[in-house]
Amino acid sequence: MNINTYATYYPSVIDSQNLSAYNENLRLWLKANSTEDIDTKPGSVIGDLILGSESIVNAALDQALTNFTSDLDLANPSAGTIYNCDFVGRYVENFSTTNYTEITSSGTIRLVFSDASFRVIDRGVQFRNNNQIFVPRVYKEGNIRILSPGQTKSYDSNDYVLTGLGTRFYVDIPVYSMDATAVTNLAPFEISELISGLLEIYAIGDFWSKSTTSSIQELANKTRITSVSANATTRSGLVRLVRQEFPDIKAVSPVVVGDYEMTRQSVNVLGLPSPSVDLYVKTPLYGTEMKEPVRLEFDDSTQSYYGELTLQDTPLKIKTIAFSDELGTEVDFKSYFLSTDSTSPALSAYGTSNNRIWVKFPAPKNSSNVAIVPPALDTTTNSFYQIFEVTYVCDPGLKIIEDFFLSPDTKPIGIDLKVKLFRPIDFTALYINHARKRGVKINQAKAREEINSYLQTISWPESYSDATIIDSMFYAGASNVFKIEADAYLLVGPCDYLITEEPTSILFLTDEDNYTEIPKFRITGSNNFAYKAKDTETNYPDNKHYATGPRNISFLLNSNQILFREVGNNVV
Amino acid sequence: MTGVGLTITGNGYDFNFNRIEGNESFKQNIIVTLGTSVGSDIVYPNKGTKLNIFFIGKNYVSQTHAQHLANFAAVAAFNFYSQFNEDNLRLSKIKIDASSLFLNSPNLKVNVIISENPDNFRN
Repeated sequence: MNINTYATYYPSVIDSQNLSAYNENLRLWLKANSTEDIDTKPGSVIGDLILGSESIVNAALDQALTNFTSDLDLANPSAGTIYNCDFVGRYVENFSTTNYTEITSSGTIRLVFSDASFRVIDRGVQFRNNNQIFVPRVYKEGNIRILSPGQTKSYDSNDYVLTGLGTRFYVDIPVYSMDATAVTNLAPFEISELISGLLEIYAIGDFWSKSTTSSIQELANKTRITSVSANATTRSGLVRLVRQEFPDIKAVSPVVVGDYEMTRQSVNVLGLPSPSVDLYVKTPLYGTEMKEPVRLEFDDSTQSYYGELTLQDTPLKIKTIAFSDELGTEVDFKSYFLSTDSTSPALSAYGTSNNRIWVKFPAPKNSSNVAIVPPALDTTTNSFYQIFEVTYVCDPGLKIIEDFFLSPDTKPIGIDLKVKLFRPIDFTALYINHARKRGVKINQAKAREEINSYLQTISWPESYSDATIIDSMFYAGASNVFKIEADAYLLVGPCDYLITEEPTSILFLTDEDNYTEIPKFRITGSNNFAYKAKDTETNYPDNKHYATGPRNISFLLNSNQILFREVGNNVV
Repeated sequence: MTGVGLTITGNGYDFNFNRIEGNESFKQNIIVTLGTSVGSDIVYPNKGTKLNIFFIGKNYVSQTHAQHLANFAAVAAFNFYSQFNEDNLRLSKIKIDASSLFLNSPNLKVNVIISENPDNFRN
């Protein structure tokens, strides 16, 4: 690289105020390092004609070096002081921060197929929306395999399992683009390959996107955040690794052995704690609401429906189950959670891909004791069933981060790392009690936006503080802020009950010996937004294996749930 | 301390490339400084005197006035060189005799006294 130092780093005008100091330094340095005792005082031939000029050059060189070292100290470029953009751009590439690999837009798309057969899609496939090209965000070798429902994913290939019913089966695939593109929820996509049975492709949730080209200032700032030790050997290194690979991530918090929130406190035969890390993540899609149809069997003896919910994404909570007819009558259901990961027992598998969920509920009847929607008959199995629409809250971005850490190339060595979703505080409402001066209108939209943005992105080591909310309220026009109250529950599982083995029939779920209730913790105010709760006693049969604390709690609310309540006396 | 010798004339100076040693070099520096217009050196803005302005242009009205101007120039040069004592040489006195101008001499007479230590004055 040709750094034109003269054009970039040398000052165009010398500051003559310090020239005598440069001359003095040069004179004394020369005197100390020269064998000849040459007169270099002002007025002497050497002093005036040679050292005088040399000190001007020295002053310029010193300024150039100062400017150059300023470019090397990325604190300055990230604050906007850049002398040589070409150099800084190339320099930050040494820390794997490049403009070229910058992901500027990412999200998840849903592929809908007419049947559930196994398919292979070339990993070089491209998806197009509004003339912008997106490619699959896959980390393992080989092509993308679309598996039939019920097939098991292999952890060394890019596998996605179909879910769905009848003539609509779908699979969610994460994609990204290097072009800045604002893709909105349900935006249609085109595909570069002809794939049999592919009905449609659309976006799930709004895509995360940023401006087309990162400025050198942004790149320098990112390098400072990510480059120091972006690897999985330390807590901060892990955070940097995730932030470098997923610049779109909202929050990331590693929980390690010794932390309150760690549920895997086992020790090995040497008495040393096993190197376990629970990596709690929250992508921009955290809190996405999904609707999927499921088929549930009707049990005539108990007049109830029951069955497993086979869903595309890992639920944070099951919101509603409703008949899939036009009326969409919601049912009052009970849900059951089972961990399928032997190393993440019980509720420690919440927010991972390794769990299964069953539901059970009595068939809703009207006042005349007649089923609102009669069960349908499956003539092939001679059984009754009905199709329901499940609405659940999830984070479709979880899969991609799980895949990244399971990929043979990036799987941490010697560390048992599990990727999990932050434990949500599920809000019905967040009340901000405040006062305002008479005649002053509070800019609620602005305050709501700021508070929501704050609550969505805080993660350990930054913990919740009332001060930020109070600050936003003052800025929006409030004269005082009182209590911040919440109508919310901290969830440690997506279901009502915990089961420890796969249910064989509806009778299994009816027997109280087979399940235990999953607790929900009432959150009434900001004083317990980092609620600590734990149940990890070993050798206890009812151990539920949950642990929550400031490191793994996040907020599940949308801006409409932030309510402003004017209380107290208005200040005149 | 070794310097390069100069031959100073009414028209300026020439290099004579003689080695001048010790106090001789320092004295030559002071003579150069007395003849330098103050502000003309960007490295040392306070180096120089106003002797040039007054004496070459003959901007004085009397011998007394000329001696005053010469004294001020001597003080300026003395103050300037008082900061350079790294050779254990201390400038003790600069005296300019302006009366020579009125004795049809083209030159000012300058006495420079430099001491190595307070007890050993050298002229």
